[in-house]
Amino acid sequence: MSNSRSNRPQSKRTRARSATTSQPAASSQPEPTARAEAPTGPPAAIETVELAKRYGDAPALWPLDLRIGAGERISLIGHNGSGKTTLMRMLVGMLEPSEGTATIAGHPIGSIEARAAVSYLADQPVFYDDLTVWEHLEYIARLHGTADWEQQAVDLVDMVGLMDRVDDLPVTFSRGLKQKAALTMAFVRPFDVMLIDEPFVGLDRLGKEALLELLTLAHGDGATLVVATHELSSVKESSRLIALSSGEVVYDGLPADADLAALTEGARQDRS
Amino acid sequence: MSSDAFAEPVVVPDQRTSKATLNDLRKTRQRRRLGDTDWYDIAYRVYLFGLVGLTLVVWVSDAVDGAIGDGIDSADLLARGPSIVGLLVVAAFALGVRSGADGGPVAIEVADIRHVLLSPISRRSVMLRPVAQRLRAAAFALGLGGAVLGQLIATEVEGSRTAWAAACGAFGAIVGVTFVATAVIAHTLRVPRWLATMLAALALVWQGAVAWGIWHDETTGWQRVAPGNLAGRLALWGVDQRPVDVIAIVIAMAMTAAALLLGGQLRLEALVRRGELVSQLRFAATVQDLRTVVQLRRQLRSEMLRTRPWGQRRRPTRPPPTVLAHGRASATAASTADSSDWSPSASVIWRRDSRSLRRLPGARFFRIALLGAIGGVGAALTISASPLFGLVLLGALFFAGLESLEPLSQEIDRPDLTDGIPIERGWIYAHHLVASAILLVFVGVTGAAVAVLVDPDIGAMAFAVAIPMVWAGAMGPVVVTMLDAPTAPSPTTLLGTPRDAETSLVPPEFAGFSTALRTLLPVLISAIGTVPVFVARFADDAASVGRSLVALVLFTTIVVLWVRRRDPWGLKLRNFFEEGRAASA
Repeated sequence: MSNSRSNRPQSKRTRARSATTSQPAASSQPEPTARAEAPTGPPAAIETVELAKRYGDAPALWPLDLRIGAGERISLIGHNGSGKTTLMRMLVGMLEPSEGTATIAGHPIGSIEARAAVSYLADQPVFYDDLTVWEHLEYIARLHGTADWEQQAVDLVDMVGLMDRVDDLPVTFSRGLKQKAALTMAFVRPFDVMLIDEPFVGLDRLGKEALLELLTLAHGDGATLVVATHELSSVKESSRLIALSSGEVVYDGLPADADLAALTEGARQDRS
Repeated sequence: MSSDAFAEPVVVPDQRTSKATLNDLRKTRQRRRLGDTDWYDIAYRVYLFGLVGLTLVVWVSDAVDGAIGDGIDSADLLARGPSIVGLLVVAAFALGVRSGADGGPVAIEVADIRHVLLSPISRRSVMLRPVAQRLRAAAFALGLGGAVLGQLIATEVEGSRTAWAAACGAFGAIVGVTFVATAVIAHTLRVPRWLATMLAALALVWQGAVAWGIWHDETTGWQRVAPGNLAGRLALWGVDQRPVDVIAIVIAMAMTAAALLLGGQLRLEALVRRGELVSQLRFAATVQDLRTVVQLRRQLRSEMLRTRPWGQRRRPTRPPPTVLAHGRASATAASTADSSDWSPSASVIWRRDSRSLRRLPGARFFRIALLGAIGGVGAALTISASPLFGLVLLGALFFAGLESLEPLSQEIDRPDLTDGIPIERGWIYAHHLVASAILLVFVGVTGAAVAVLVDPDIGAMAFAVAIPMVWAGAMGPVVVTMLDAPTAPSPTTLLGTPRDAETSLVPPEFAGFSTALRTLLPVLISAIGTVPVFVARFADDAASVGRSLVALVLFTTIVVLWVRRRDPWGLKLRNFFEEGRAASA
């Protein structure tokens, strides 16, 4: 049995957020920012080198150098088609890069160690037709080697308000309930890095609050979070903001320094 | 939740535990599926399938006796047969390498990709079962088909039925395994599409050239060596067994082992795309929706329409927004003013359809031309060799029609857009047939040229009958497509019985029969397009062929008129029945 954790210099509990080598720098927007400084210190939670994706001749993501330190909480924003989902899917291993490389916690994307480290909450929840929420939780937790998963599952289900529906088939749920079920599945297993794509879509107030609380708890425990969202009100919670436009990074810095409205307008102007 | 709820260390779990969990998951799901299964229904289907299948085999066995040709010489068969039969294995290789380059042949549930393949578990152990299932299914289906064909062949040549069924069954299984294993290997080796096409073409040309040379006794020694010969010879074990042919089985087993070993390296990106499409494809196949099946197969091959139509050099220049706004305003004002004497222009539909066809990818044009060529070969051999080749001609006519009807399909698949246009639906549908008819002219000319190449005696007659034939052959696909068009909703049938009541009273035998009829009807309609070829074979005089041609044109006209007037004719028919019922009451 290999233990990916043993390869790393710091445990999650002792990992200090200040240890990241990519502390966001205030930069004027929407000037494109390159963050290709030489890696130093512990391995980054996420690191991309010239990572690019093309669909046929159409570029979805231009070569991207990105370093996200362990314990950072990132908001990823951008207009529709800006490359957020493409970037996330490449990091999780569902899409193959056209060029470049990327690592998760020091391991190549798609490798067994990277898969153990990264949890992905997709924009479109997917479930087995014939398994209940509880069965999903059981198998996902066990496939990630978690023996003692039941208390965690009960807490999660209770938190998002799904306790009464835990023995129902999630494929029969409404969009919002599906999103809540997917949330519990993303959090029931251990992870170092969580990639979340449009998590607020379809969620009611209770769901949004539960999600924000879960994110805060996970971040507090040292996890690295990358949240792609159009919900600009949630951006202020993050420690760093990355904005994409037409497959390029147009802003990388502190959320407080960003004029979000101008940034999204700027992104559109860039495209035209 | 506690403050350290997510502080559990991340570890790669022990693979034996993970595999046990995966097996657990699969067993739970299997148990549930079996629990939900209606065993009586399955037993009934197996009974029906067995009964119909057996009757069909016996009937075809009698019908085929002497149709291929009496007195086939075994020595001649053993000399010329392997290279020709081997074409099937090479075709399986060609299709497999192309399928692999397109991301085939395995498809798994998207939920399995999201929850299992993204988990820290060995992908080889996850993919072993889906790859093995695909190999097993292909080997079984083609093995069964081969065995049935083998016992049919036994009626024409030397050798027992059992021996022929076993030999052809084994050959069919090899063809199936070759397709799947080649596709898996090509997929995992990331063979680019251009290379796959080259390899496929090379193998087919090699085998084809050797078969041609042997058939005409023009080659000797090494010139007779081709990749599919050993497997092809295995299919003839009903007559004579040669130990060296076992090498074909060994190669197939080695390819199977390689595919099983490499299964874990199948690309996730392709699996995601296929997983989403294949579930739709299975549903379409379940409800016998042939048109949707063909459309989804195109998507599985990543066959996208071109952004820029063929023949268009530059992107069209758009007028500036102010001009466009002015133009729109003027057009709206004009249309309002002249609405009383406004009539639709056929040129609008023509422009839209010509662009639609010019956006078809090169591969689709190649496929349409290939179908034309196959139809030509089928027609020539129907006249000169055996009427069984009429089936090849029929298949080519039907699928060439289906491939050419893109404009009509686009319209019918978007009924809301059609109903938003203040023009009678039938008028739009009928005008969409013009562009497809022009494309089919090229199919007909290609087919005629190939038919003349195969049998020069056919001569000018081929060109005279080809175009009406492909048009008439396309009427089956036209009917298939039109059956998807919306109709005026009505709670009762023409006879006045509620629709629900009628369907609930139909016994399963008749329900199954009507489903089969609905599936076969378009093919039967296309079969009318083959009539001139059969007339040429059996009557063999120009006047009879000419008369069949007139009948074909008449038939095509009637179907086009039906497309144009379907709604008013349907309404008249319904009124007629309702008036009759009212009078009798």
